[in-house]
Amino acid sequence: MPDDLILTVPPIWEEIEGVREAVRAHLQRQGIGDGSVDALSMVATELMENANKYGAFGVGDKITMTLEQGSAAITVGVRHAIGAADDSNLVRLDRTVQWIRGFQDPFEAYVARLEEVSAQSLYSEESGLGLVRIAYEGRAILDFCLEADGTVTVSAVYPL
Amino acid sequence: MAPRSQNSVVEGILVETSGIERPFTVTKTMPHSLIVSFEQSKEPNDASAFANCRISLGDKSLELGAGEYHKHPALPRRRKDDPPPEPGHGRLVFSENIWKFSSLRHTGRVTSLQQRVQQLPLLWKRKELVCAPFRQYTLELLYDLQVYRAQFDSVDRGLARETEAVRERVSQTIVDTQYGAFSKFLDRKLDELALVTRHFDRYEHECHGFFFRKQLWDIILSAAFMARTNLKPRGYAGDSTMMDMIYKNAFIGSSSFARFMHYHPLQHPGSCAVRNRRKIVVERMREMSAGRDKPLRIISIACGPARELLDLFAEPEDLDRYHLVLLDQDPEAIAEAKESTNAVQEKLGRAPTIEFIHGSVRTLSQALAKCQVEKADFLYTMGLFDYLTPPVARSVLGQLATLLQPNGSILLGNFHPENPSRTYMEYWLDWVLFYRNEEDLISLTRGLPVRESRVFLEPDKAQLFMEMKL
Repeated sequence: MPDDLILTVPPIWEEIEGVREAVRAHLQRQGIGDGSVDALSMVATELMENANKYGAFGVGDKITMTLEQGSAAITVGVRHAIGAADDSNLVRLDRTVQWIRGFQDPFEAYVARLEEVSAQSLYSEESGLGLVRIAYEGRAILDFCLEADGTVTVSAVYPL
Repeated sequence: MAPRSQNSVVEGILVETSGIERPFTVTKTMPHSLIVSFEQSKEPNDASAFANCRISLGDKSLELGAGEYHKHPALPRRRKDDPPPEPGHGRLVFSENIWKFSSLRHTGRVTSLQQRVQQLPLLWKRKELVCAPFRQYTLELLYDLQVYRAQFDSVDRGLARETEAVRERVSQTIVDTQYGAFSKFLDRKLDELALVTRHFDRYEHECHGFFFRKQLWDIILSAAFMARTNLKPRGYAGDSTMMDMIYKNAFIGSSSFARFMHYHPLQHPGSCAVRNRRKIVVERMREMSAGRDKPLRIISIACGPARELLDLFAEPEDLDRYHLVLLDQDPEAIAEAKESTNAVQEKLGRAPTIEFIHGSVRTLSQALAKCQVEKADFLYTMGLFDYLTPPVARSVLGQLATLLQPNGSILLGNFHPENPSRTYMEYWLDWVLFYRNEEDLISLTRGLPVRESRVFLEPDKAQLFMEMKL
């Protein structure tokens, strides 16, 4: 589609800012309102950070970010390779996505996650606040799928 | 994030006021206490105080502060119905903070009441987003419901000293004489809710829904079905126990009011649609198997308790007509589906041919890679696509299509945006779906080699179905 944006970038943390700026510039060119531009560039940034953290990349592997504009929604998708032993990460992602989506108001997920962030933890792991921000601050509906080729796509649908 | 096991052993050290250290293992977590085991001869005395407690996993540790140790009571287990002994030796209860241990085993996190209290200003501020007409509506609804409840509660209290037979008779009379009027009252209130929220956008629905449930919370919790849809004890909406409640469609609860509140949503079109689809899918499988000389191979995705098997396998000949593969993400749902299979075996004297796969549809290829699934003639999924966004729904549908024989069919259900129970589900039940109309459903098949397709609504016009032949 002419209004879609597809970016393929190496899995390097420093690339994320470039993706964010490209998303912002693309949406502004499409005449999308400032609030939506802010929300969608935050969503793209969070998904890219997620991919960088949890992806498993071989030499030359890249992350693909797509911004697909439909009549009722804009969808941000980030696709990347995962490791062969990534079962536990996928199970956790699945559980988190369903948990966030289980609330009519993502604010409830946000408050619960803030509580957990402030909690003491026996595991050295991430807060998971990024995915909740996509739902609460980004106003987007989060989902993911393990593709037939073994890559994973995490996507966020932003209703217009 | 580092992979971890949910069965990781949490260990700890109890420091007594005398300075003596007693190592222990956490055997079980309770919401606000820890059940622990001590090494032999290291167990403290019953009701003894400790100055500090530290729990650890690997090189990470948490300080939980002072408290008391309470040894398990030594109850002789003389009869088979006596409760089994608690694991471990006793419980640690804390005196400097109210710790919440519910997610310790899953997430390794321990929260405190103090931390939760700190979130209150954020929660209080949320009500500023609620408009005046909605506040008024909620206030009046709450008042009317409490007044209604008080009438039933007074009868229930009067029955407390009656015999069981009298209680049952009077309870049935309350249902027979009062439920109709109560149902109309609540229907009216739902109409008013639809009216007061009719111009809201998605964000306003979310904010107002949150406020609504906080106001009505004790009423919601009084009804078993509403409590379950709100609390989502398995971490997701629409679990197999909720489906079973819809199928049973009965007055359940500890009071007359609770029974009415439980039963009312089960009569609404959304629940009727769930019962209707059970019939639709069985009829379709019967039609497809008619005249075949070999079993119809069927795959059910997100099978839940699979109660439709009880209808499908009606007579012994049916056992040779259908071979099924059932997949679900939830081990408890799989266990319930196995119960359905056992019930069929008990009824017909022989087990149906059914294979169970535990796996999530979002990681379908991974689940299928672990087993060999023969291609199917018919694949159905009734309550799955309501939770999938378009990119995921398209990807999943493409993967499902590869599980079919040539000329195989897929039947999938998705609630329609005009679902008459939508407001009820979102505000009262905290149950949000991804709705699709006819066009949305058809758009999911883009790129698939579809030979024939049809889209139809079930009789209560809440759920839409698409059947396609590939």
